[in-house]
Amino acid sequence: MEALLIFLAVAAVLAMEAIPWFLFRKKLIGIQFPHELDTSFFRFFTIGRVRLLIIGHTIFLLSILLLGFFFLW
Amino acid sequence: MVDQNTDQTGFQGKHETEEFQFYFRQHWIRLFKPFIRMLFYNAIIGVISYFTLVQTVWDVPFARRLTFLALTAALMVANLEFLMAFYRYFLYVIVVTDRKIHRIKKTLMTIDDHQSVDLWSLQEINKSQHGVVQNMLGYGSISLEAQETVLRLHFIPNIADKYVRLMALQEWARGSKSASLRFAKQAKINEAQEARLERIEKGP
Repeated sequence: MEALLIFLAVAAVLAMEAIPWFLFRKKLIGIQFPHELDTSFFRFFTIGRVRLLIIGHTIFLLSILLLGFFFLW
Repeated sequence: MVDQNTDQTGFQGKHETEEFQFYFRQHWIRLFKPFIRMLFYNAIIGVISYFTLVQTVWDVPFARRLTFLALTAALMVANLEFLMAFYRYFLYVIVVTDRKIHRIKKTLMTIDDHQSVDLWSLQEINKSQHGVVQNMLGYGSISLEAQETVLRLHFIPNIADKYVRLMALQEWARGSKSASLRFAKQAKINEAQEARLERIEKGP
């Protein structure tokens, strides 16, 4: 039962991160511009870097979830 | 969102003859509120978790687990809310070409808007910066008034520079339009004259 719950929670986190990311990539088509034309602070956020951030965020959420399960359950 | 690997300035809705000038997104302040809200919710959830799950001794394990699940769900929702705002920020872009101003606004699921206005048809370009924060951070709103439509652009970063550039482009577009109109009128006159000469040459 607990294993199933952990599995469902991990799947929910992965879905929560993956589905918006793929929708975002789909919607972004046609409104991407060259890096050097962006003069704002957000030029840092290239697609590759945002992908890395999302992966990092997923790992962060999964860590909190699993630590919670193992130590506070 | 920018792409390091692309060198093209094409975008959806761009006409072949349009020439890309510049583009921008909203000011970073747009993401400040969701970011602070996420931090606040995370902190609150952390504090509640500490006091309810670590400090408190529960008699009923089921209630404790239920509380843990509820707090985890709340944490996920708080993070997801910021994530949505983050994505939404990058899906709103203003593109300025030599002929038009395009406002492309999308959300992940529900909205896919594209509004554009001809530069030469603009009657008024108004800039407004209200309040201390807007003036300190240099952002504000620009409203573009054409004959029947008004396009309002909010949270424009570095607004003074954008305003000057838009005014210059509007002047250029108007000059270009009136020149092309003059050219078309002259072409029509020439055509009529040629036709008249042909008729004279042919005789009655």
